[in-house]
Amino acid sequence: MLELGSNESQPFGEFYFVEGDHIKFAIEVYGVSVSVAADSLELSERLFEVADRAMLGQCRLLDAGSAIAEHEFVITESGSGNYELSSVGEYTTASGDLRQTLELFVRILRIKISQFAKGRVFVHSGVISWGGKAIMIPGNSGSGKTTLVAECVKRGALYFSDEYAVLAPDGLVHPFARALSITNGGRKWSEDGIPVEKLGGRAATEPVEVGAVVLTSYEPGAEWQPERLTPGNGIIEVISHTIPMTIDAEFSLKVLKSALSRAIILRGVRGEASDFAELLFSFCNREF
Amino acid sequence: MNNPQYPTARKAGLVVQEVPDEVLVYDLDTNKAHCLNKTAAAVWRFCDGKTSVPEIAQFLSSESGTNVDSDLVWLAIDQLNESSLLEVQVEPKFQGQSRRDAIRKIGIASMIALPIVASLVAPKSAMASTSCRCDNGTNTDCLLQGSCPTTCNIGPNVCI
Repeated sequence: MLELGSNESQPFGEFYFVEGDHIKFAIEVYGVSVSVAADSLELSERLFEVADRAMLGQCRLLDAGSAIAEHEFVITESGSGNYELSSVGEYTTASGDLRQTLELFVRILRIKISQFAKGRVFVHSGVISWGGKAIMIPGNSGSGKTTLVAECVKRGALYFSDEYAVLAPDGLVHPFARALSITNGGRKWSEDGIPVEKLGGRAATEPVEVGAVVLTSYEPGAEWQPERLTPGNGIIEVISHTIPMTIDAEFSLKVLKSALSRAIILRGVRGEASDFAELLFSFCNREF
Repeated sequence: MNNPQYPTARKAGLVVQEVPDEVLVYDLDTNKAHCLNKTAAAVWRFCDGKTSVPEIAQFLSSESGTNVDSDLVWLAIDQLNESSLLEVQVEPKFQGQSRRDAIRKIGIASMIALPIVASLVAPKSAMASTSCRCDNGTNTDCLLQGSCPTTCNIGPNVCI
């Protein structure tokens, strides 16, 4: 949970640091240190708040005066209600109103954390659990995994994530139970999502082992006739969704092996999410 | 010189993990992941630069307790070669129709599984975290995805 040092009512307390024209703070999330410089205390506090919310309360404030951050953001007001954001040492620069800037900040932050997290491997995947075991649904945005996850949690599956499978070296998958990013078919560019409770579901709080991996995409009218992959062939499919693969291949592969070598890995196109959820549960009831 | 009759498995720039009956290989140079089935993995293991293809066939025969033809080993060598898993590229023995013919012929006769090397390319890390891609600052793909911002923000050809 959120660690704010000695004073929870004043989040920054002794943690922020004045550097030139900037108020700087530093956080650690999943072992990754990030510093953020802004041109006002109010903006800094807002940035911390959105960062912590985006990382589900996992942000730990560090002493910004002495912390050596691996990643650095600078966010400044550029006039007329616009803000500029830059991710130091990279190409990233963008400007927009406050809402756009905050959303962009947390998206980039989440990408950084998912790439560089220590001791965890983030896989782009929806995750639910059924019968005490996790079902991973790897896929890119637009593949329908959030829709499928939502249908599953409405039917009683425990919600882990619609975005990341967070795998640990012991092979367990940890929850990253953010609000579900449901688009309703329209264009969406917002950090606001739907809490799983609003769907009548529950979020997981404990890690579990992976029981199945479902590599699927939606195809209207498709009948679910999956091919069962060998562990090796399944793992190389999941590699293409494994975020730190090109950064730390050795650790990533080790963790994937640990998490998936005993899982059932299925691949095939599916029809409507509601029908598919029932088929999936029937399958898991037989196999788990 | 590396004699193709004595193929050598590549070691450098690879991350290798064994899973039951298969070997996973990740190529750090190309970001390609390969899955070698049991037969292909066994052939790769014997590619030490000192063992000839017929000798590899003999070793496989004694390991499996069934007669293994050199052509089966060549089928594996050709795939390992195509996947850049050999130290030095070798001239493929089977290509196109001749490979299909060889697979059919060996497949019928062989008591062990045909060698298979399955390969996939891993995307750049940032792309793995999002499916949206920009094209020189214009995020047509992002707009099509319907879930991305209107500008490319994190680097060349990647939006978030």
